[in-house]
Amino acid sequence: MRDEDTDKLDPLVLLVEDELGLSKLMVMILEDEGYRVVEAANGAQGLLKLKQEKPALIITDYMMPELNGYEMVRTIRANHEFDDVPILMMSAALPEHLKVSDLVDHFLPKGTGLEILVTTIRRLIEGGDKPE
Amino acid sequence: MTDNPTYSPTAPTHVPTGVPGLDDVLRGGLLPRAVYILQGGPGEGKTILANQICYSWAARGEHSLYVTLLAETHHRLLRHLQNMAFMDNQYAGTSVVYESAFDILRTDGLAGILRYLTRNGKRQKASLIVIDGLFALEENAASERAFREFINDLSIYADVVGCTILLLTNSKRDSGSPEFTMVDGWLHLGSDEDQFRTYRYLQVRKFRGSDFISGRHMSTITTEGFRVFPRLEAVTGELESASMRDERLSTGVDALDDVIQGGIPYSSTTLLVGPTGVGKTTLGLSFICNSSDAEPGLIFGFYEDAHRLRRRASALGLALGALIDGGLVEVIHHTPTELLQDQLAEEILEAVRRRGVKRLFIDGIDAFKQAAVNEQRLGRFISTLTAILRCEGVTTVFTAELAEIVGGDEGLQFAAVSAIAENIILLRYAELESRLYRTLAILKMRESGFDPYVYEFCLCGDGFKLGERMKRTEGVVTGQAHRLPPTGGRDA
Repeated sequence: MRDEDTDKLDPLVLLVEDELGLSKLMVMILEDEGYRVVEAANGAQGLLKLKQEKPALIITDYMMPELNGYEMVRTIRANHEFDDVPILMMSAALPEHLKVSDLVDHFLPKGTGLEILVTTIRRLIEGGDKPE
Repeated sequence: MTDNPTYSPTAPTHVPTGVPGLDDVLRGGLLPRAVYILQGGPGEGKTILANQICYSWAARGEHSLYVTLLAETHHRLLRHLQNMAFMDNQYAGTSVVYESAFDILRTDGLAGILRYLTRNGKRQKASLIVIDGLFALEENAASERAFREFINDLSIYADVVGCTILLLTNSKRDSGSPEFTMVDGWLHLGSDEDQFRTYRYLQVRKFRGSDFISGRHMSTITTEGFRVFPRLEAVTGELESASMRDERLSTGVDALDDVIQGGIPYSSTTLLVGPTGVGKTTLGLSFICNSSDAEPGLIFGFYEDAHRLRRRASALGLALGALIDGGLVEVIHHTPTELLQDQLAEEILEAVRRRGVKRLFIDGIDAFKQAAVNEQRLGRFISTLTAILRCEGVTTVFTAELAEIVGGDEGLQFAAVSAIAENIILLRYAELESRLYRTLAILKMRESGFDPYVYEFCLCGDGFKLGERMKRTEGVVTGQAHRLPPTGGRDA
């Protein structure tokens, strides 16, 4: 999926988040860690950006307008083109009936802490051991 | 893929501030991932309180970042903290890191500060960030909207990064200003003047996500640091009564015990009222000198220290010295000067609980009136204190001063106490035929009858001696004593 040119650049993260303030802070954190970031404000935008940008990681919220995070990742996983792109879902709450374990590589409650967040992102992008 | 996660947010656990009394007011401490404003004028103690929390954090192994937005150097800041007991230099620069963001604010504005926090908070692994100088952020914001967005960004930062943020400000902006409406909590530090005395207080104006004790709580700043005294009547909650015992405690004066049907009722409150020098303290000492292993005693006084009390007791033949030496009686003495009533109550209750005190003698309840910032509160305060003591199974004897030595219409000036006392013993002087008599009368005794006559008593080498009933005399209790004619009087 990746070509030689994109491999030379810093890894790209697709950030799908409807809260503007949180999105701004996440961009700061990710850029400080050496990643490039492309933003989307909901699941529908996220699907569009995914096709255009070819990210190394998708970080998505669950609760969003238009298309929520669960529906977005279900669509992504149904289309096997992006099977090798890890997905990190972050949310303040996740309903019990949603089975996201087969769809995302990791789930973090919002407010887990910076260190865990950064470590998780690094591990997902670099591959190898999955985060605890 | 990960295990199927289900996630519901849970109520956050309080993080203790380590500041005495403050955690009681906040029902456990600050909440993590929250932004608080610490507001107060110059000299109200914002810097001391914030630093005290930082060093308490450090003692628990946590890191904090203290960011200044003022021109003051950290050297000066640290120098002023050196006398504080909480200041532990091993943590300064390691667990408590001081950095100035004054220049970043000047050159890069609020966005620069947010980026600085993102980088440095992580580098310092800070779970607590103090930003000293919120007003500087206000001043540097391009607009009210930009300032509001910054406060919102800080809240998001605290949540994502997982830290608690304290914003220090002396701003007197309206409570509807964005900083006050958007933050999770608002602690106000203030002070009131009463002629020559200044009273500090702390008030929680807002505290999202948790219960707290509202209203003003007196506070002090000493070399021990910042200390809050939660209002006694607000912290007590529902009291659990000690088991009622149909028991009497001796006053230490056998004849008086006979008059009140065997002694003072267990866990009751007795008020000894009388003018200066009449013998209130002596009667109180007699009561306390009946302390034992089963009934440890405590004297909490405002007029005489342990040394003077020993001498006085010795002259009256009371073995107070031996009881103190044997650990059966403890004496705590204060001069009634700059104390706060909640501070006094806290000390009494600590001493009672520490030794399981059952006999308590408070010599000079008037000192509570002097210590009261607001006299309207006094009745509720004394009522709560006596209720707590009752629940602890403590039998308490207070003394209260009558303003006039002989006669007079003033009566007891301390209505709040007399209404609460379950037992009242009035000691008065009576002048009859150019001679002063000491007299005693029982005005009130809980759930029991008592001898309604007026008695003469004396203070001698054997202590407090109750004598005969006053005969052919009237008006002693009202302070208008006079002899009845030899014939025709009720006792004749």
